Amino acid sequence: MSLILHLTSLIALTVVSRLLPMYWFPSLTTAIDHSVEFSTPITSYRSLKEGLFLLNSLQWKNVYNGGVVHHPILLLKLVNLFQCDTTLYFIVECLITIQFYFLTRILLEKVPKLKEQLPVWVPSLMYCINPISILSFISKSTIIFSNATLLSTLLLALHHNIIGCSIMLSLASYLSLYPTLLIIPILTFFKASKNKVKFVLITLINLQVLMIISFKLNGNNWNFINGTYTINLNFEKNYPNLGLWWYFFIEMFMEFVPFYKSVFNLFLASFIVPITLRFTSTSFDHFKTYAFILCLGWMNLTKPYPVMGDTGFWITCVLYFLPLSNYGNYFIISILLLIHSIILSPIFYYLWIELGSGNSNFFYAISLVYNLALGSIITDLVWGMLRFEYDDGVPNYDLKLTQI
Amino acid sequence: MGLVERVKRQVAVMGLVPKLKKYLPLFSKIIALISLISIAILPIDGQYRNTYISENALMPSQAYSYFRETEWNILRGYRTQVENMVDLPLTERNDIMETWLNDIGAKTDTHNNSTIYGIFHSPRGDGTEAIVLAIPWHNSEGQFNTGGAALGVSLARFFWRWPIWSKNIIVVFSEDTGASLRSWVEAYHTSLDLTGGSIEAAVILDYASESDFFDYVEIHYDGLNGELPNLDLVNIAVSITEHEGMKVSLHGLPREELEERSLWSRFKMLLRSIKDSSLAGIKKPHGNEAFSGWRIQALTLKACGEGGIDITTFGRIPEAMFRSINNLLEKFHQSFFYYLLLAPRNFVSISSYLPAAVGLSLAFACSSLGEFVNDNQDSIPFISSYTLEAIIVWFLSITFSFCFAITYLKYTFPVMLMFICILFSFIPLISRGLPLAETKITVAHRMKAFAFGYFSLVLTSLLMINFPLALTIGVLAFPMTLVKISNTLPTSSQALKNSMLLLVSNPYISICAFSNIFDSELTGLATLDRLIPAWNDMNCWTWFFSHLAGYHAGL
Amino acid sequence: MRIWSVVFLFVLQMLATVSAEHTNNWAVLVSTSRFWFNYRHMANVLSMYRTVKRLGIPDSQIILMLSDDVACNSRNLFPGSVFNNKDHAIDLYGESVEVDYRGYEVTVENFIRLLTDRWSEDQPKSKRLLTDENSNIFIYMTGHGGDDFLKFQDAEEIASEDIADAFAQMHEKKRYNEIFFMIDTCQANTMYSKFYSPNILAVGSSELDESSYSHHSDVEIGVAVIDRFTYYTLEFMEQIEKSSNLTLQDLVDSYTFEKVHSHVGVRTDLMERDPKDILITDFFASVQNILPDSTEDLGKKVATNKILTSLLEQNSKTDTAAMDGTTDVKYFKKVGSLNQHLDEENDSSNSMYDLSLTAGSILFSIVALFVLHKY
Repeated sequence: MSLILHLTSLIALTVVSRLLPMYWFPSLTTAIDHSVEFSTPITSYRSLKEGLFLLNSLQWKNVYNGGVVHHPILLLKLVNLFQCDTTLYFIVECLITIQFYFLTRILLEKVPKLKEQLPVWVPSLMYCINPISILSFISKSTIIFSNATLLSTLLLALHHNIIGCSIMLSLASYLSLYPTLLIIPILTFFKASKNKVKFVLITLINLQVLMIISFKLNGNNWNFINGTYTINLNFEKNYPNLGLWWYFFIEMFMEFVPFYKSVFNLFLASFIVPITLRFTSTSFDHFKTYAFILCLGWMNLTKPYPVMGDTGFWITCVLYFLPLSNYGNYFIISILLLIHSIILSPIFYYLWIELGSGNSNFFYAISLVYNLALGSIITDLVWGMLRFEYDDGVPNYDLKLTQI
Repeated sequence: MGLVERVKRQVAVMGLVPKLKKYLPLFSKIIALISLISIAILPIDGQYRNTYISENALMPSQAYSYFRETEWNILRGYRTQVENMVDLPLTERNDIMETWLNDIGAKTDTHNNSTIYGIFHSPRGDGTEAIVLAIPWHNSEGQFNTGGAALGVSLARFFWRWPIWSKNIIVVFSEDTGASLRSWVEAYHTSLDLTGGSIEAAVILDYASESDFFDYVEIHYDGLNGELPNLDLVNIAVSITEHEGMKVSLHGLPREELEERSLWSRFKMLLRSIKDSSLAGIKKPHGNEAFSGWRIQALTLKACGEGGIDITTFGRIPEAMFRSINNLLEKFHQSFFYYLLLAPRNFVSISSYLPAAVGLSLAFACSSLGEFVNDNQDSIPFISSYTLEAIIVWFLSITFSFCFAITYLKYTFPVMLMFICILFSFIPLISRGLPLAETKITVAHRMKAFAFGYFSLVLTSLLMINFPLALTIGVLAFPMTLVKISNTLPTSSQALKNSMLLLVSNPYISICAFSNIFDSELTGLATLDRLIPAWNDMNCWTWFFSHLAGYHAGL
Repeated sequence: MRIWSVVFLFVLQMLATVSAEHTNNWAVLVSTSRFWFNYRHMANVLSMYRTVKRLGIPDSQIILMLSDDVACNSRNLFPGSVFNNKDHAIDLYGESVEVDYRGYEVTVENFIRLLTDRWSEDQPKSKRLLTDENSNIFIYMTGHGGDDFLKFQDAEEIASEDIADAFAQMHEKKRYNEIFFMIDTCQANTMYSKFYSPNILAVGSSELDESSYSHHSDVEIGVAVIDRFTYYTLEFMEQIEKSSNLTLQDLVDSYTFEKVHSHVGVRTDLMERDPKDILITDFFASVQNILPDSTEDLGKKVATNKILTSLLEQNSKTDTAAMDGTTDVKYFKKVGSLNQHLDEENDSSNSMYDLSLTAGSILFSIVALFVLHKY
């Protein structure tokens, strides 16, 4: 009974909290869609609309020809099915809220001590009233599709549902490329090596199928790979965003750009395996979930086109680390940094672009602060996990340990 | 990292954390005091710097200015004509002006049937940039701008004879210094057909008398929302004015104080800078405010007093400024956008004064933290119904004040507002007899904590955009942190104290009092009326106050 | 042993070549700064251009690098003209100014390539410095500089080491006989401090941590029109004619702190000759165009292409007595040494032929002068 009550009220809250601002300020969608914090060339609603227009226009043979559209063709087709795309966005957003609820239910069983600290409805509530998620939703950033599939991946992995999980993971990878790497932390959820092989195979087959369908839908043309994935890997559209990439590549001599782009990509990928290996070889079962969330956070930190929508989603996942919160050294500082940088970053962008009284360094500096905050949260989480492991699951806060 | 670790260990060994927690409110006061002191010492020698022209290209007064005797009769002729136009309706005045500008050779157009402008396209330039000479028919005091209009048209005539312009010259005649000029600027960037490229700089002329002579020049440069023109523009204006032998007055400094160069005069100028900048938009605009927000460096030149300097000398300031700006390649690249002027040739840059406002923000943050941890509040977990209740109240008060601000935009009711504000402030006094549940106290603390935290965040976000405003509201609202919540029934004296503190820190009351005391122009409730066009600056504070009022209602 | 003797001979030959007199003159004139407010740098370099041209170096041997087009700048009150004085007496941009590198072509890379002559095949000859081991090069630079650097185009800098290395390459590639390097910028003297190749004389306008100042502004144009150092250099140059006896020492002596407002520096240690012995016209004038007024003058001034020099050598033996001035004696000695070396290969029976050729060439010169005079 309480389940239905919880779910309905959460869904209602999700809808209300998003519908009201959209109704009161109809221009908000465009406004946020133009902000660099919530929208990048590969996730923006503008680009999606352009894609839909090109898809439906008779003269235009291929949506990727103009170099404006960077959304996968299946997503375009999906959105195209809906007369009013807001409906689709609401469905997906409610799915995320519901999935958070069920994820919490499972994790409350798996994660020790979480039950006392976290009522089952809190993560979903935090997601649906989190201003960042709300704004990201209103901007109609396509990041929520990736987030929804990622969440399903985790949920199904916890249910040991190999086929569902692999479908969801391949969908997430199909939507935004980098989740492909999450195949590594997900693998650890399946104990038997037979299952592991099965999982990898099915995921690969799924990806292939998705590619072939896209190829067919795209008029037997492979150029969607360039339009959606190469641009991501190569960081071809060098616009300011919250990430670490853009400033670096604006300043760099052309000769070094390809080298450093590969270095940055390697940097992103290189931490996935160590994080997974370190935290899944322990006796704590729930560390697998933690490793998955850490990998997700790491990818958000280092990917070429990060958006606030990623952070809003990830911060909700971080709630599951609550039992470790007393181990954290800098949580308050990190949270304060994060809040300040989120507030100051549009202001500095405005000073730079609109008023001209600031310059790009202002904005880059504040985006560094933002990334520092995310980075220090990740570091604290890792430290907390290591301490938890050291204390063998019985927290001993009086014991002071030092990193060497 | 090792060092941090060491400090942390030392702190833990000495048991500093509980002690520090206890002193948080005191820290808050000390930090606020330090930031005020750090502002107050700026006028001392060594704290400020002399201005300098950082853009090499400007070269003010290197070219000889020729707006002299030869232009005398032309100027006088125009002025005689303009004198007759005082009683004519705006459109007729504009029609005459349009004919004149056309005769000179400008392309003209009108905006909204109220603002006329003419463009002189640069004969050899690429025509992508422009400099604006704006002349409001009526100046900020509502006087007819006789001299200014005559100067404007004769300068246009004079400029057009020079073949040296690399930028287009736009001459604008608007009805007043405020809305009509601003609407022209907005239309120029959005809807007008006849344009002359991006405007790099604008000079507004204000010569309200019909006399041949005046005494000194006032330069006004404060833009809306704390925006300032590039310091180089102010520098060339000051340097040219002094080069031509006139005295410069900033922030309306009276004639007799112009010569003063003392610690005290710099201190007064500092306060005037902060006041004028934070009240910009609320005060009567001088004209340069109209150009804020479009990357245009603008200032107003105003001729003041009766003296021995003739009107062509005043005309030579825009002439030399235009030649100087004409030398620029593209925009003002260098120099400062954030500064406070202590004298025409002394300034402090942002790095010197910013820490003061950061300090204030930090003081509020300390108070906020203090509310969380003191009075046994830290034993109550963060995630609790108290917090939730506080968040909801906070959210509701923000929503309420937002709606309130919108309503106020539509229906103005300053006296009523004042009354409500005063009433809110006395809630603690009225409600002191009511018993207070133990749980409510925690909620009250949490609400205060959120309120101060939120206020600290608002101050931080205002820091860079509008430092003077951040400083002013930070100082005016600081008494709020002294409001105490007692566990027992409050005594009447304490309730009275709380009420007074709230009264003092109420945004409307304190802004009104502030402007009444420090600014002769704004008296009574005038400020509140003026808040309407400038409400954007204000509503964050309004939110906060309503919030606090809400919290007391919660008591 | 044999090897050593070859090396010895080779070194001897090298020495002989180096100490040989120059037969042609080149000038490289560079302004490096952009923008209207740097008008004076363009005026500086155009003034120098005018001077070397007046003294006879043809356009084909002047490389003019002009970093901005102030003449056609829309801010110029006198379109198409550049003046270096507020009296507007001389329009430096008048007629026949050949700018070899203009605007954004004036880059560090192009300057270094020019000096070292490393170009792609399609670089036009008019934009190359086609010097050889007998060339005297006058290099003049002006712009905004600092300690050991000179700014190019507001975007890049050249370091003093870069120029020094370029000169060393030029020396190795036998691209010059002597270089006279003059630079007018802030902290100019640092720019020649790193030179290490022989036969370079350098003059700079100001010491380390010292600014170079402009001379005066033109109130109509609204900018400074010339720098002090260049202004007084030009003032000195105005008295130089092709026949002038004044030396570089005289030029250096003419700079005073009162005039220039900075300490002018000279570097002589690399130069074999003493500045007292170096005629201004050795660098600022073209030898080919100087023709003897009389037979006495012939010895004094000559310098010509190789054939003519070698022929004159014969003449000098008889005419030495008529010569005055140590410079000239030394000059002829050097020419002699070179030509003795050359003559070793020649048959002595050629002497008669040589003599007649000399006489013929002198006769031809006189006729040519006569014809020119008629025009």
